[in-house]
Amino acid sequence: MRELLIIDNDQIENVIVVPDGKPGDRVMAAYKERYQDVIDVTSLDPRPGLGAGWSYSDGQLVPPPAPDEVAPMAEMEGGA
Amino acid sequence: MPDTGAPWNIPYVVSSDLVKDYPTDSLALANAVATGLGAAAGFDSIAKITASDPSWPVPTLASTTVYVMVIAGGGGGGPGGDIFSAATAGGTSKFGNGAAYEISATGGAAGRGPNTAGAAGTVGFASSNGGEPGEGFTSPVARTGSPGGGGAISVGFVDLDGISTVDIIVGAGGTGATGTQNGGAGGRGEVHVYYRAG
Repeated sequence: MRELLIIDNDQIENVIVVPDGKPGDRVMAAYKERYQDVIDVTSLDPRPGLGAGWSYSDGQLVPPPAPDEVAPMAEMEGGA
Repeated sequence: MPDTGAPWNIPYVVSSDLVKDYPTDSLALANAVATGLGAAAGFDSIAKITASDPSWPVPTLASTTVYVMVIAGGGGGGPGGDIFSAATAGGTSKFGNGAAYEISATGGAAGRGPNTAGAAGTVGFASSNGGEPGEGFTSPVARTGSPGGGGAISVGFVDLDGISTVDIIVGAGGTGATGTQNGGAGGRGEVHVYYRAG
């Protein structure tokens, strides 16, 4: 199985499953005719998806900023 | 007969691994009800669609009314310990994408990291295909994220009279968060069509 990101109106609309091989190519081609962009994310690492800060701008996927570093355990536990 | 609160459509997913979060006694009762409903409706065939298909061919039908169950992708699981990248949500699944008879189910929410507010549950009937969280440290205190939300399940009857193909979308599972221990990926969705074969 492969995974495709569906882009419409400059937004990541959905992430879907399509078959491998030529059947998947045909599905991808069909959806490319209907939506602004369709991106195969199967082999991307990290894999873009819905939410988590991923966005789409100027024809490119934009990764989220790195999350804030979690406070050290001693601080979280009040120094215990 | 006691009211167990079991959704009436549970019997149709008995064979699926996607739904596990109902009590056994409710399942047994629901199975008994389904046996009666199935006989009354005359459904004798099931198509389980596991990947998107913009032109899914409608099988030969003895009755044009079919019962459809749409299961969305599950959210990715949250991390254990520190979080390096957040999980993503599950994809939406649809039967009849954009059609007047469209049935849509929304993907499950992404799991969250430790020490964060919890996410709201999936509205209505949901699968349990969300990814598991990474297992946090056990000392001095466990810091484990939350599991991904289960993809929603939507059901309905559709009259496919005169319709030869259906645009079907199968939502993907969300990716698990990366962290000290990574969260698991959400499971993909699925679309089931119950019909009376011609």
